[in-house]
Amino acid sequence: MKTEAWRRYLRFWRADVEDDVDEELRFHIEMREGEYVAAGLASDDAHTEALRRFGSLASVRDLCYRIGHQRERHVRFAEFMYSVRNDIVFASRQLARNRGFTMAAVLTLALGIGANGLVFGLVNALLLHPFPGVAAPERVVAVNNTHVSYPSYRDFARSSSALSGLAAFSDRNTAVSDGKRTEMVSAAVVSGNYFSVLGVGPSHGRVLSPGDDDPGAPPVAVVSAAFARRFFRDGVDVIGRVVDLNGMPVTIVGIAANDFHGMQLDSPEELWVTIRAWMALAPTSFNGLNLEGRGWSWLSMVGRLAPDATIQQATAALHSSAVNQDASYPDGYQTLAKTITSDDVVSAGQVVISGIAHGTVVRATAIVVVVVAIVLLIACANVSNLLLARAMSRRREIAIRMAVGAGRRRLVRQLLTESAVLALASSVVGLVATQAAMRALSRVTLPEGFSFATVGVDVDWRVMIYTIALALVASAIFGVAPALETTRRDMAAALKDGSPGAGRRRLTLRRTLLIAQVALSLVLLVGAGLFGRSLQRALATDPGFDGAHVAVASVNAGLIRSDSARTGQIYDAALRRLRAMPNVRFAAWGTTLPLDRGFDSEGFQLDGYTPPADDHTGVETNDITPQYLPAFSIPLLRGRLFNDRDGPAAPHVAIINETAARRFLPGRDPLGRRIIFGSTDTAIIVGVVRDIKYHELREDPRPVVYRSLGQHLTTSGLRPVDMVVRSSGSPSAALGEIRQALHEVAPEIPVYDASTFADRTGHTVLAQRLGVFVLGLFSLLALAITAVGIYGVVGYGVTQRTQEIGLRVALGARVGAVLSLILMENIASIVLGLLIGIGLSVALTRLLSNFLFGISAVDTVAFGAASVILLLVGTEAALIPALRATRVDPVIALRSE
Amino acid sequence: MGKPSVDLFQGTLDVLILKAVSWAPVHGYSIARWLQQTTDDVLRIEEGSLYPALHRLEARGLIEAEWGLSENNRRAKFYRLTVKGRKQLRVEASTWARFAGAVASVLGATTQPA
Repeated sequence: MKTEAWRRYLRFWRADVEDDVDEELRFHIEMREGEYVAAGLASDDAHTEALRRFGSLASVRDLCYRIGHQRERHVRFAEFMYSVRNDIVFASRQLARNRGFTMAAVLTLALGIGANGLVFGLVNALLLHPFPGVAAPERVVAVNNTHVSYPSYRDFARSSSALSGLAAFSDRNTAVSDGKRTEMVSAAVVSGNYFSVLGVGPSHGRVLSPGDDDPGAPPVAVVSAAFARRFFRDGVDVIGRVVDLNGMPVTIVGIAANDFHGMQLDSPEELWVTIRAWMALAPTSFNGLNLEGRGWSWLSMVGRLAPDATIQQATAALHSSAVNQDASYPDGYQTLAKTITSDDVVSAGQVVISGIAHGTVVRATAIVVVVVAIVLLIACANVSNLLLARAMSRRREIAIRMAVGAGRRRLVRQLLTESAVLALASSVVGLVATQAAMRALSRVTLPEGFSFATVGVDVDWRVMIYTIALALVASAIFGVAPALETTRRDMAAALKDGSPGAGRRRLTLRRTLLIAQVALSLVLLVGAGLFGRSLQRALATDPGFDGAHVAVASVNAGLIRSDSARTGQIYDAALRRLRAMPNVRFAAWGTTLPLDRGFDSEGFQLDGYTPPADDHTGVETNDITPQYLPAFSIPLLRGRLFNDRDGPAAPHVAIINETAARRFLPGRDPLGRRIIFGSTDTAIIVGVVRDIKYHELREDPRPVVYRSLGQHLTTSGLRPVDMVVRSSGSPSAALGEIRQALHEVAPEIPVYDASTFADRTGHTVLAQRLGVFVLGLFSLLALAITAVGIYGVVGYGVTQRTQEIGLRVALGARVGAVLSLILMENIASIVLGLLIGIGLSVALTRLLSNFLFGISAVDTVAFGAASVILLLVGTEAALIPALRATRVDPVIALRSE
Repeated sequence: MGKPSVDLFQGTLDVLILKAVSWAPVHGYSIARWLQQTTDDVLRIEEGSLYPALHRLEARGLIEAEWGLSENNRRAKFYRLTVKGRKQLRVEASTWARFAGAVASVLGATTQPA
């Protein structure tokens, strides 16, 4: 075990742990051996005895190795941390000294980082854990787009061993009254195991249990914390109180814990009752609907995966149960097996936001993620530029430090530390901004009823870690190139003179950054332009009706157990009262509103129309009172409108739209023909009206039949209906009058969703509006950052070439010549950036195509406008420093040589 | 070695080592010999166990080491007490003295418990 001589020299630099231990232990044993030999032992015996006295040499040696290595690591780590600390202190001092630079860089980066933090926070809240109160939500599976009957749900619940529990629920608008006032709440009708499947406990009292869902169990309800706070303002204990649900008394037994609000993001559940209790309470419009029948598909399902089960197993189990049920009950109104596919059985995180498919949410999110990433990249490019500019002013410092022996690696590390400190400072500022933005967002409610407050958007530890990690990544992106550039060897030459060589190189790098900024900015501008054009197109689309002066409100007479005669009286009285008001021009009821929640569809027969062989499609119907069509300014083309004589006793009448006339009765006169709904309801067609957009602005014309509401009170009259009031003044002013009129004629009937028609249907252009807002905001941000970048680069170029310009001026160059000298190459860079940006945009805007309206993703107007704006702003930003160049005084410029 | 011996308490070896290096820099072997002679070999310390203890004390900053030449001109690692180690030795020594005094006074007691 001889130590090689050369390793000894290494000790100067760093001790070798194992050699040291070996040598120390060998010394001990040889000393002991020597002693035994001196005492007269034979050399072999002496050696053996020395080893015996020592104990286990191998284990002592290994232990010492370990201690030594550990110590080595500690020392090395401490040294490293010490140098990092020094770098950080030094960097902070440098940054504090250059306050202007630091402020500019921190603000630019904070914008970029903050925007990313905000978007991550939204993704975090929306897609990653959107269900407060639910235990282990990743084990919860939802069956999307599928409604099942109660017996069918029970078959599913029995069949699946891959699920530890399967619950059913259905959200219903319900009138809640404490005797003094009535409010509409979103109540969930749930199976008894709903809370146990979702793992939600009570904060007070108890939650619902399977026993509450037994036939004959007393009707009890659990309420959400938010509802308890809002509804029972008097603060008296909520547990044990009795409230009226749709006019029937129900006892509140508990408050759900942890802000639990169900599994739907857009309609937070506020009150829960069991399915059996609900049937006992069912409003009259439920008459004829049999809980035990398989024809009534109304329940959604949500389950919890059994331990070790996968979502695929759950899907397979549900699917095979569906196949069995289809085989056992061939008369079922739907084929279950078709509706339960792997697309529908999803982790609870992927639940749809009412009607907006999960895929759409993900796509929209992806767009926003890309947008903020681009903003951050542009910000990084700008900070890179600032750092490069700063490198010039620091060249003496760097050159001196290199001259006295600082290694390039060490200097680069120092500069990168500076970048990291800069980025971390920015992330702190960015987080504060993110927090503020989230606060603001929490107060926003989108037209679909979705509120960010429901998903609990907040700066939590995930957002913090993400933001800080992102800041560090960003610091690498913007810091590496300047750090390498700053520490180039030829910087040493800079110590001696102006070294135009190095300056040129740096200018090339800066120009590259500028081109990148222009290209990225263009992508955002094009995106904003595309959404702007879509919005413009959407708003310019003629929906066929005029909702500008219309106010609407909903009531549901079925909920207060009104009968059809009384309902008819209420409806009429309310209309009479409203028409008496001076500013009301038309007042009417209708079962649906255009561009709202969709129309009812019914099977029909029409004299003279034979539907294609296997076409059982019904026709969409809207039951209205006489002034509905005038209220929306829907023009009558032929025949007459409904009038007050079209009451229950009169012959039934119908009005069809022009598409129905054209499609069902081409070339023939529809007036006077009979149209039969179901088997008994026969109406005479008395008029034809213009088509309007019924569901969305993009739709093709579709056939619709209007019927007289007064003749359908027993069915449509007891379901939710909408009041439509067209006033001569502002529609929002009419809202109070509507509420008052309804209150006077029927104080017990709750009025809900009262708003202007424009607000009610704002969601039709929501995607475009949000797109314009988000992309507009960020592209303006990007444009501003880029303009500053261009200004900086051109200004730097001018400073670099002051002498050259001075010489040219001295030799008689005109202002125009100097200007074009400076501008031309910069405009060339901008144009190059634009070209690259157009290519990038073509590749990226395809992401948007789902959200655009009436234009293609490569819309030339949007591309053209974005390019022109960018070119103008870019030229302007270049012009300011270029003009400075024309004012160069040749005498001063040349003297400075 | 027919003498009665006592097992070392945990951590006792550390104090003994601190004391051993408190005069002048010494190497491991001379610490072993010194302990053997001073205690008349009552504490039967396995010589090998000295070294992990030394290295741990070094890692804790109570002693420090450097290579030097031994009395027979061989390279050996010499240990010496640091300022921190001296403080530690003082604390431990007084703790030991009080402990030993307490035990002794119990064992030397002449009155029985009440």
